[in-house]
Amino acid sequence: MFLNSVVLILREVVEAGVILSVLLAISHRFAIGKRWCLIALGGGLGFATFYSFWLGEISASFDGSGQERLGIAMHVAIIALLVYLQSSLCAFIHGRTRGRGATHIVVAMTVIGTLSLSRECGEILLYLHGFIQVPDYAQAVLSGAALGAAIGLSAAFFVYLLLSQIHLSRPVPWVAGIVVVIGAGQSVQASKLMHQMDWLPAQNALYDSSFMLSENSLAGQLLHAIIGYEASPSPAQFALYWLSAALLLAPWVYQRMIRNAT
Amino acid sequence: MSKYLTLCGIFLSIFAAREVFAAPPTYDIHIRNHLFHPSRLEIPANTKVRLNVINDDATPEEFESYELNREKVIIGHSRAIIFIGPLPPGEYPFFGEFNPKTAQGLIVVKSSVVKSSVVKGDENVSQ
Repeated sequence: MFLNSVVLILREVVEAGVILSVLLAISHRFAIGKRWCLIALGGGLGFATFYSFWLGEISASFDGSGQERLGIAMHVAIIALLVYLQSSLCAFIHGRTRGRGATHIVVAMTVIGTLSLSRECGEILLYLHGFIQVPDYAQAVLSGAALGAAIGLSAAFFVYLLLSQIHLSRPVPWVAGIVVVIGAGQSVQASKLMHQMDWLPAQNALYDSSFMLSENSLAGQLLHAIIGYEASPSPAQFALYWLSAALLLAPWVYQRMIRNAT
Repeated sequence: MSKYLTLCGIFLSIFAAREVFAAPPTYDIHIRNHLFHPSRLEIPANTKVRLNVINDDATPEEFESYELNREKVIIGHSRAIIFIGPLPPGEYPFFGEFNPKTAQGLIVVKSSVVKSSVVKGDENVSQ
C-alpha cells in the first residue's frame, strides 16, 4: 500500500505540478506577476474538494458518463486556454499589447492552473479520504502520500528552475514548444475519455511503442501524465493530438507571417 | 393527418427497434475486498460491449487498463459504465489502480463466445 500510494500521488502531483511550473516559468521569464498562482491554488483546491465530494453524483449523471463529460470539458478548456495563452504571449512579446496583454496572460494562467489542480487534487483527496478511514491502511497511505507529494513537488520545482533560470539565447521558441507539447498531451487524455464513453468509435491501435517504453513503467506513467504519452494510440487520438498541436502553434505561425509580410 | 401519424409510427418503431438491437451486451464486474469478480471475463471478438463495474467496497477504486486504454474512478458502493471494443481476439489485462497488488483482472476476447451472453457477477448467463 505504501509504494502504491507513493506512485499514485507522485503521478498526480507531477501532472498538475509540471503545468504550474511551466506557467510560473513563463511568468518569471516575461516579468509577469506570480500572484495568479495563489488564486489558482485556492480555486484548484476548492474545486478539487467539490469534485471529490460530488464524484458519485457526477459519475451517475448523463446515464453514467458524467465523469467522462466533465473530464473532457476540463481537458478541452485547458487546450482552448493554452491556445489563448499562446496568442496573448505572442502579442505581449511582440509589443502589441503590453499592459492589457499581461492581464490576458494572467487570466489564462489562473484558469489553466485552477483546472489542472482541480482534477488532480480531486483524485488525491478521493483516494486519501477513502483509505485513511481504514485503520489497516491509514499509516501506509499517509506516509506514502507524503513521500509521493514531496518527490512530485521537488520534480515540479526542478522543472521551474530549469525553465526559468537556464540561459537560453532564444527563450520564445522553447516556451512555445513546451506549451504545445503540454496542450497536445491534454488532447490525448480527452480523446481517451471520448473512446471510453463511446463518443469516438473504437479503433485498432495505429502503432505499438510499448516495446520501447511501456505505459506500465514509472517513466511511461509520468510521461503519460506530463505529455500524454500513449504506447498504442488510436488513429483518432493521433489525429486529435496533431490537430491540437497545430492549433497551439498557430498563433506563433500567424505572428511570423505578419512579420514577414511587413 | 392519419398518413402523417402512420409515418411517424413507422419511424418511431424503426428507431426503437434500432435502439433495442443496437444495445451492446452488458457484462457485470464486481469489486469486492479489493478483488475483481469475475477476475477473468470472456467477451466476443469484434463486438462493442458495455462493462458495468460495481464497487461493493466502501473504499474507492480506479478501473484501469493500458491495453484497453481505459481509466475510471468508481467511488465506494457505486457503479460505473465503461464501453470497450470491438476488439480483436486476445487477452487484455485490467487492474484497480488503488489496489494494484490484489485487484487484477483479465478480459479474454474470443471469436467463439456467444454474442448475446451476459455475465452477472460470478455467473455466466446466456440470453
